[in-house]
Amino acid sequence: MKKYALLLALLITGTAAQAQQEFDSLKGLKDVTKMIVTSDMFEMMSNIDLSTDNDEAKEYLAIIDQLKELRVYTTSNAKSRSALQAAADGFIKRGGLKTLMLIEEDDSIINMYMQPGSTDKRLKSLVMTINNGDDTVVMLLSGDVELDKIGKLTRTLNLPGSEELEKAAKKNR
Amino acid sequence: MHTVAKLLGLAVASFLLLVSCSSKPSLDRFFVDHQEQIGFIVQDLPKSLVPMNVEELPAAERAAYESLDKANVLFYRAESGTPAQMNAYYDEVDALLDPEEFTTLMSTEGETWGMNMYYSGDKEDIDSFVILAKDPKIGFTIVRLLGDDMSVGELLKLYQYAETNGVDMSNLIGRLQGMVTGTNAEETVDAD
Repeated sequence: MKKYALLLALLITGTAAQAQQEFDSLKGLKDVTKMIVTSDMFEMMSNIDLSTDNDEAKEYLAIIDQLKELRVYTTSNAKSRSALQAAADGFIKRGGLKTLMLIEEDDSIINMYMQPGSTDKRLKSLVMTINNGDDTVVMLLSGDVELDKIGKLTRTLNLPGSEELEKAAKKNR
Repeated sequence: MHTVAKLLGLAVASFLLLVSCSSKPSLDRFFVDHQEQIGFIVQDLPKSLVPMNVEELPAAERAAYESLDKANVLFYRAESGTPAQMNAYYDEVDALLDPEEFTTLMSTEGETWGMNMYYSGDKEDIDSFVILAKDPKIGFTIVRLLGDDMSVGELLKLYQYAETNGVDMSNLIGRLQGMVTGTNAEETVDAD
């Protein structure tokens, strides 16, 4: 009985964790700053029926509605940087993500990869890697999200690349 | 008959095993085990700390107020020990938050700081929210928002209501500040 319960638990957590398994190895790396917002959070937020007249708040709720998970990893430690890059590469490869764009500015190299969503203006997942002289940043986003909404979101969260995303959204129109 | 008895015996044994699992180290135990310990402060913050006229509340806000019971807060002051000690306590609590019972809502963690948010219960019928946070200079805290049948949407509405209607939060804020600065450390007794 206990064995089965354990097995069941393993199966459940196993399938849930599988989606981003490459990044699980980063959990033990203390010098990697991590931020994860889970699908449960987004689901709860999207169920909120806030009677707001605020257009900005409405727009955020609309973005939240389309999001499933958000992860951001940052590190400046050389060893952890390569571990983080390897995790991102593995995820991109396994999911068959396509290059969306490559931006080189100042000393930063920004790579964006995407997996198409339900329509050609939507994405199922987006991976952004930023490498510069000091650190590596990887942002991972999944759901069924409109490209121009992602630009707004990254701007709100103060993440780099928002300008480029908004530009890309315009180009795709 | 013999096999039936054997099967029954097995069933009882596995049932007991399952029950004994619930007496494994838990968040409750952590609170109880550390409330007397130097460096730790444990307090119950009843919802009456935030005075609200329940009769005046709109339906959703009222439901949220009624679903809430209290906040149960543990605070450990960073200066009570070495950073390694604090991290050990933090990791201990982190390990107690069994993902089967506590679903992660969000988690953000750096080398020395962190903030994690969980809930327990059903998505539509939340029993508790748990916030676990640490800061190398201040300390670490576990905040448990306890209630029955809580909903994120309703709670946010209640919060919005409290903000827009100028509800007096000073008692609650005072108590929380007191915990952090240690000025009411002797009031660790339950206040409800």
